[in-house]
Amino acid sequence: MATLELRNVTKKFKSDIVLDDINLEIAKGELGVLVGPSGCGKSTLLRMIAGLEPITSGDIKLNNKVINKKEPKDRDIAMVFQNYALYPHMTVFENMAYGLRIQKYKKAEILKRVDKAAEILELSSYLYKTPGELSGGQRQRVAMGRAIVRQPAVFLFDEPLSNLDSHLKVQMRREIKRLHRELGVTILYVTHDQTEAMTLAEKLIVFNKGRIEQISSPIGIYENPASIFVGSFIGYPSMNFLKGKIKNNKFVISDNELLDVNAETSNSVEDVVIGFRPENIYLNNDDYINENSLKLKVDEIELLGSDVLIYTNVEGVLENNKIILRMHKLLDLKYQDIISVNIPKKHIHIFDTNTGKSI
Amino acid sequence: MKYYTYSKNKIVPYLFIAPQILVTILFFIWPSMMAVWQSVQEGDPFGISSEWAYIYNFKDVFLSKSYLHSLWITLLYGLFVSVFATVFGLILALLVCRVKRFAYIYKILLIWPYAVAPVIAAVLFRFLLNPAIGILTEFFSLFGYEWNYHLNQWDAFWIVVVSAVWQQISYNFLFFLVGLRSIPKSLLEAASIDGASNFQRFFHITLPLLSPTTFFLIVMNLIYSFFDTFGIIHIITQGGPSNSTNILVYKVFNDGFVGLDIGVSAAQSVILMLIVTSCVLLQFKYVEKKVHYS
Repeated sequence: MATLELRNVTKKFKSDIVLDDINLEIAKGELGVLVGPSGCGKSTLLRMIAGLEPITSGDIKLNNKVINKKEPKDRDIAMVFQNYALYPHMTVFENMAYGLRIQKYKKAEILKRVDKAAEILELSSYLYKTPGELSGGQRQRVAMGRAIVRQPAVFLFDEPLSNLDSHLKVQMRREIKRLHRELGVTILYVTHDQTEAMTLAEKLIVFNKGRIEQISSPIGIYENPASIFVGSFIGYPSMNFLKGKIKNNKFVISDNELLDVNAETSNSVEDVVIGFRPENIYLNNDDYINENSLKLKVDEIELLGSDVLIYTNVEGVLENNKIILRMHKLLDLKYQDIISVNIPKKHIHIFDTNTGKSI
Repeated sequence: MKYYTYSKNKIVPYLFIAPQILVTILFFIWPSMMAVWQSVQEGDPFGISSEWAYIYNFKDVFLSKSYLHSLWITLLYGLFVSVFATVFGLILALLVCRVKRFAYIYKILLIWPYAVAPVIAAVLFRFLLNPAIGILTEFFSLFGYEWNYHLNQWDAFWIVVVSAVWQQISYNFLFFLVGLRSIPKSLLEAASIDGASNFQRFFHITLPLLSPTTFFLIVMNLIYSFFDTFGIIHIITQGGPSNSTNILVYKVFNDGFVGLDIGVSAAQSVILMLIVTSCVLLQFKYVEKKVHYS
């Protein structure tokens, strides 16, 4: 049974469709992450669930009750904002206690809950400071504390880590994961950062232009992207794409038979895009040439430390021919070298050029 | 701190600020000094001769019943003008923030009164509330109230309060509008998710965050009501009837320039200066502690 359920949720601003027929379920205790580029409507969706934005049509259900028309305060949700939205004139304690106070909880109960939340978040020694005296990471924790003390049915996170520096980001990411594990709460988390999404999610929802592109586990999405967009958005460096045709299970660019593919559909599909990840490309040994091979010309080499990124162009193809390789060791390569690589069939994804969907 | 300079010339910078300094000395500092000097002098009405009066002018002032009455009227007047101007300015700013369409028209109309010269504003209210031909006088008479600010002390008091407030609301409105705009929307959203009603959001979030603006405005309104409403009073009531609108600044003028008692008038202006200064200092000392600056 889903705790949070969206059924055919649509949002229009005048005639612009911002969100188009969204269907989504988050199970009790699940951590769902909505990921997508800026302006794709993911924050709007979160605000609609929170009740800060009216929906045009569809149903939002929380524990099987429709909450579309309810005021934010009656929805049993908590939200962590991107800019934290801490009350600057209140101390950390007052910030966390505010919701409980408004709802007329007993003093002892408020004290107990805030103390417990502060302990979990390691904020106990900051309770009587104001947000202005705290660092970014601490403010972030106060914002989470404010959500925790209310013990809501669902936590909504709206890009909570985007104002932190990268080091703190990684730390807070783990903190959120720990909280989720310890408290077993239901979370819907919005981010535009695919690394954050991949590392946090139990259920990953990829969003683009107001539509859901794919819902799956992070690894499912990484290994079987449902569309070109998903393939390019998830994973860094991005998936490699080549545009061409398929004839007799062969991928062809302007009469150059390049690669063998597993085309399950008819033998010759016009206009396809094939995609494969940079780490699924293997260098051929000089003595032994694998079957599914390509010749690439080296353009640029980037050393990342643990990995090497090799930017190349496919030999004999003039346009849309850029391919990035990810290797684990530094190779003796230089500009304009020709290398031979093989790409195993099972790692090649085929997409329809027109719809962008996986075939 | 090292200043940014384009030339090593030591005189040019002083030349640049000279006009401002000159104006300040000529119109503010010198007259103030003269007032302090005159307050301890006893002069003839023509200003030809004077002799030391020491503190006798001040003694005169504090022993005069009309001065104490004036002081009381001024405090009452300052209180009403400040409170009404602040409260109405805030209410109007809140309403304009909620308006979705044509907000700019409301804004222009609400700021307009500030562009009207005090004297013109006063004439306007004189017309509206004239005992013989005033349209509002006519309206009051529908309820059986005979409005006449020439005769009734409280009528006179309220007409100057209303005129002063009408002018000062615009100023307050403008500052509150900017203050409200600077409160992040997400704070109010967070509060509504926390379960706060409209009223709770206003009193728990908006009002505390507006406190720097409110504090500033109360200080400015007090100074305004004590000094700048001279024009309004001069046009509408000339301090009457029976001194019911004779606020301190008007009494200074009346005693000095009409009554030609320069020494006593100067003593009053020195006292007024001290009263306002101490009012503002007290506010800074006590009220500012409750102000939250972000």
